[in-house]
Amino acid sequence: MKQGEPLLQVMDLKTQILSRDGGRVVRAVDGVSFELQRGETLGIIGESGSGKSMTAMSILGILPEAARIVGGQIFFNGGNLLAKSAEEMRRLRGEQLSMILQDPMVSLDPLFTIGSQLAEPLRLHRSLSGAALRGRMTDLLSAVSIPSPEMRLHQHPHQMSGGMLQRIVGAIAISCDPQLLIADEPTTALDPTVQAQFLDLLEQLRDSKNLSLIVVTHDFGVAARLCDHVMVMYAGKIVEKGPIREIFDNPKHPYTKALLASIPDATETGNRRLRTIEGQPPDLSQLPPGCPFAPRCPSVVARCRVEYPPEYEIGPDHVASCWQVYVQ
Amino acid sequence: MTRILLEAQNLRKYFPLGRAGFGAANRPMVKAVDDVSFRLEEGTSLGIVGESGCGKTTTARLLLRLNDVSAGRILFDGAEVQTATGRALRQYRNEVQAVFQDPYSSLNPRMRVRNIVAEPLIAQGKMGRKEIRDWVAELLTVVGLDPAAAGRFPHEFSGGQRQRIAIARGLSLKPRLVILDEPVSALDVSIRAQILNLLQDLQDKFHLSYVMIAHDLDVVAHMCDTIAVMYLGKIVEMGTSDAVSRSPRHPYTQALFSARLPARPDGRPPRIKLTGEIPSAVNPPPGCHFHTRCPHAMPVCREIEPPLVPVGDDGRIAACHLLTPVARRS
Repeated sequence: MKQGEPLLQVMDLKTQILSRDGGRVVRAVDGVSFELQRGETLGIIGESGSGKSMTAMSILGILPEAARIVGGQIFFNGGNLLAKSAEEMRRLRGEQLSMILQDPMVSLDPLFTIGSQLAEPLRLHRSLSGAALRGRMTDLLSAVSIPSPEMRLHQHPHQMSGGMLQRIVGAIAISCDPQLLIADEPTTALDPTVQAQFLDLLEQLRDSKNLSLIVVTHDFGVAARLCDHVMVMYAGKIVEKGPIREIFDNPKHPYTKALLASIPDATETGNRRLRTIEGQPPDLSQLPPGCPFAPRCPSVVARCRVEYPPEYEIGPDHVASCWQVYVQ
Repeated sequence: MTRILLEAQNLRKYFPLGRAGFGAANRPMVKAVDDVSFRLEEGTSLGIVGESGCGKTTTARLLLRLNDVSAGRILFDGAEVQTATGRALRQYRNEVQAVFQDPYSSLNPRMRVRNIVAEPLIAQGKMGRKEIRDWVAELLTVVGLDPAAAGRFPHEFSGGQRQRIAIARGLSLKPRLVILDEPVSALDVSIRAQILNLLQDLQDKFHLSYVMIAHDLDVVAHMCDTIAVMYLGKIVEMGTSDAVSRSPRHPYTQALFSARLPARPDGRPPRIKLTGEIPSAVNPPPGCHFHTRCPHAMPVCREIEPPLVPVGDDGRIAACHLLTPVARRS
């Protein structure tokens, strides 16, 4: 299946956050490795604090000030991103690497028109101006299905709905034909029917522009809709990764299984109780030894509390880190 | 014979736009809630679903009397709520409580958990200090928290634990009806299931009735006996959870259910694609409000608003010309 060099290669990435007094170290991303092929869509699934967004921010080089990458390597197109200067990264972002964040009201500046915000990357990276710039901008807005684009260019964000704003963020993200688009909870702020429309759009952009996509989400439904492969994160580690169908039909890690079982489904009838994962996610600055899921795991064994399990291969491309899988 | 605990009769809430003053009589109105009626049997749950701007939260606010109705009546246990004053209103506010979406903003960060949960009891003034302390400890145990945590502040708790605190506060006055406004949408998937199970246990234990407002169809269908689907201030379909989720009849309900993202790569029914977004409630489209996005819109839909009528024999009602024999003939 794998041909040539992957577009993105993350190896043993470790990102830590220092608490304000410097006393505590939060291991937000703790030894994450994965590859992304060209044209592939990868989902990163996890709950808050699992490290999914920090993984995305580490790749993009937009970590908050208190966070730093303390280990590992990130290769994009063969080049080591961690060896690049801030200026080189800035040039890469918006041009080859691009992103869509959760809330369009936060990503867009309320004081500037849609036109001026869409023009910024095109001026910077493509040196467009005048009629060429205008033409490119209306093309982009049409590509994300914004009706009457000329009029919209003169409007401000408050004059549009949330769904439309997220489309504009999408237009800005693809304006310079990036190779990799990272979408962090791209539809969480949208209503269901609008969310469905936006996921259609992402799919269509991916196929027509030959984009590679990383979708960061807490929602298995979103991942099922878009992704070829998913990885499930817990406490800064990848606990399971594999082809989307494998993860859904044949989940192996107890955390993945429990998460899937805890989602209510309207089409199931009868008043059944949801399966829950007891307890709370761990404090990332005081991780227990061994597997961080052990305190909540229904099938925990003594070894789990001592030693972190290695990755076991379950099938083609499907791996899970769990001692129980090893026993089986 | 089950009794009707809550009844809404033709509720309307119109918000005027712009400034009051000269010529204000002709101000445009946002019809946030427009002729909404439903009944809730004691001990059961009603779920109100819809997208932002459909009026579901305004409906909840009307039920809590946080806003006054523009027209229509709310009956609680047979008594008029809107005109209640003094003792009767205090009584209503004891019996109807609310749990809100965001446990980060609905709990006062400067109050200890003990005081947050006890505040309604202190305001009510019927219990002594020792009694209150014991009841708070019991409430915390009931919602799955350690009573020893009563002296801590909200920031020391996770989101799921905070929602448990909010639920304990909601139950402190032993209400009969709890309004749940998006109670789990701010929570993580694994925590969401814990809270939904807790709400079900509490309902059984205290014989509670719920009105649950949510945009997540799966959550509402899981929790509620009856579902009402709202669009632009109106109920477009209402029926038992099973019936509505298994065979939605109104085109909007059908589209909403088909936009669900079930957590499986297959088994997704073909999606009914809606174009455009929800129109403004200031100038809702004439006729059926949904006709601008409806895949089955007919000429009659642009002119005549369809009435909410019984469809089928499962006690369901829906407002769509496709479902009324008169329009189908014309």
